[in-house]
Amino acid sequence: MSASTSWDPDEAVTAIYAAHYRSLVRLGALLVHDQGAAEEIVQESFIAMHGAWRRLRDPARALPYLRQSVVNRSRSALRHRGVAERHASGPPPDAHSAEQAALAALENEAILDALRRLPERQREVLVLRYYADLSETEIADALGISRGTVKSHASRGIAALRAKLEQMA
Amino acid sequence: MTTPDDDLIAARLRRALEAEADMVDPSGDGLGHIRTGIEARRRRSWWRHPALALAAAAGLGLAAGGLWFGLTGKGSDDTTAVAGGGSPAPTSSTSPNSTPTPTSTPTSSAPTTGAPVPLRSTPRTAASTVTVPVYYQHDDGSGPRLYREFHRTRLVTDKITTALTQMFATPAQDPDYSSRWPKDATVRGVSIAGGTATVDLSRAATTANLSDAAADVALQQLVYTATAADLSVRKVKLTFGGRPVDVLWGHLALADRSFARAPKLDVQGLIWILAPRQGDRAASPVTVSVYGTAFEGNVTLKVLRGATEVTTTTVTTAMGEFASASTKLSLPAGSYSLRAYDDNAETGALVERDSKSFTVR
Repeated sequence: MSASTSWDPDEAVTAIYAAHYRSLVRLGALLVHDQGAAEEIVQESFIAMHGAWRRLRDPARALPYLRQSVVNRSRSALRHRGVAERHASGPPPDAHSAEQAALAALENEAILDALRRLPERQREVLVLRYYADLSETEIADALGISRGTVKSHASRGIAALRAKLEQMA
Repeated sequence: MTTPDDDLIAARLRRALEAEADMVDPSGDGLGHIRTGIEARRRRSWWRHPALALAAAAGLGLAAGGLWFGLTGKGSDDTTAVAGGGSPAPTSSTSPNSTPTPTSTPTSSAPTTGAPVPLRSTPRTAASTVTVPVYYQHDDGSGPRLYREFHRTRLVTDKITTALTQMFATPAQDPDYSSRWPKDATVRGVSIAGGTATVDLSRAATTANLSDAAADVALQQLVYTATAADLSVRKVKLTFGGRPVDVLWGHLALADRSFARAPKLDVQGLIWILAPRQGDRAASPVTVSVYGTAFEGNVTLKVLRGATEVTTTTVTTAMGEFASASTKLSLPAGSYSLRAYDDNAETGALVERDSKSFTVR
């Protein structure tokens, strides 16, 4: 779409919304674990993007901007929500869950639960890497950290998940 | 350095994130909220920083109000894809200038002119959404047995209350399954001590007309659901309206007893179809996955379109214990039913244990 470079902010919002709103809400929901909050976060990000459009101009820069905004806002949403509620999903499954290991859906719950317990940066890196399929460079851009740091967060995050899952197996 | 184990974890994580993301379907009015928010911000800017806003409007191409309405019809449906709209340039050298400063956005609680404009018409819910296991009954021909579904729902108090509330009041997704508990039963409270959950149900739960065998299975339906919802719980004790009941439904001697899960082989459905789920819309090849036990472990799968058999295959679970197995089936678009059978060891006849309807898109 060559005309896209001349989008005004309103056109940019409309077009980028159509292409990416859903996937951004999903990204937010994976980070804050609350669809309503994720929708609100993504809407605020679009409003911010509209305000920043004269600096962005290029649609190719809009998506990284939105992602970064979603990650930052998700982080502050979690902060506001507080520690108590973040762990409201209950205690980690314990050893008697032989049934659990066999079954895909509960298996998903187990790994997502472990993911939620990781340090913030590790969790963000893993979600951007394995859900959003971003490259190390893109993740580094979205989080404002170096590629090397992305790498180490990713490998520590995976190792921590493995340890948590082995604990409960 | 990644190890093969790490790759496995990464693959599991990817699957789990995809499945979780799939369950998130934004409500359709996001663009309206965004436009309202932009309008509110614009008005706020005018009022608070008139000079700045004027400059922006004059020099920097702030859109005229009318443009919104011209664009509203286009792209308001969030399923409309706009090709090439915003694929990221991976190597874009973002100058410090273009770094987003999301925190500088006025929040919706900032003072505004006139009435505050909320971003969302629906209030933000603090309650989280959870996936809970819910057991139902299905008579596979040899008597009622337990079958499980996962229900995604708002957390009510705790996971046991949430799961049992689903079990009482929400029909199973699979029309072959049902709960034998009174539909108007409610959970009044759950307390957990030393691995035993004391579940207080409403008196309405005491009114049911069940046979001996059906009453046993119904009790296990509740025990399986509660112990699956909270894995720290091994036993369940029931009270009704805050008091113990000696004999429930004229059959079950409860009094002060607590109940653990009966052995799976006694009460659990012999073959569960885990995937596809009832009503799924799947892409071909469709992943079919079962969990069960069968003679020599063999589970026969048949796919039917209407009454016509489209394909059949066999997967191997386990004999004398439960195990999962899966396969992939390539199917043209259409509506199907999948049936899972085991062999009657003596006659060799196929006995249907579970079935699911699904669509290939």
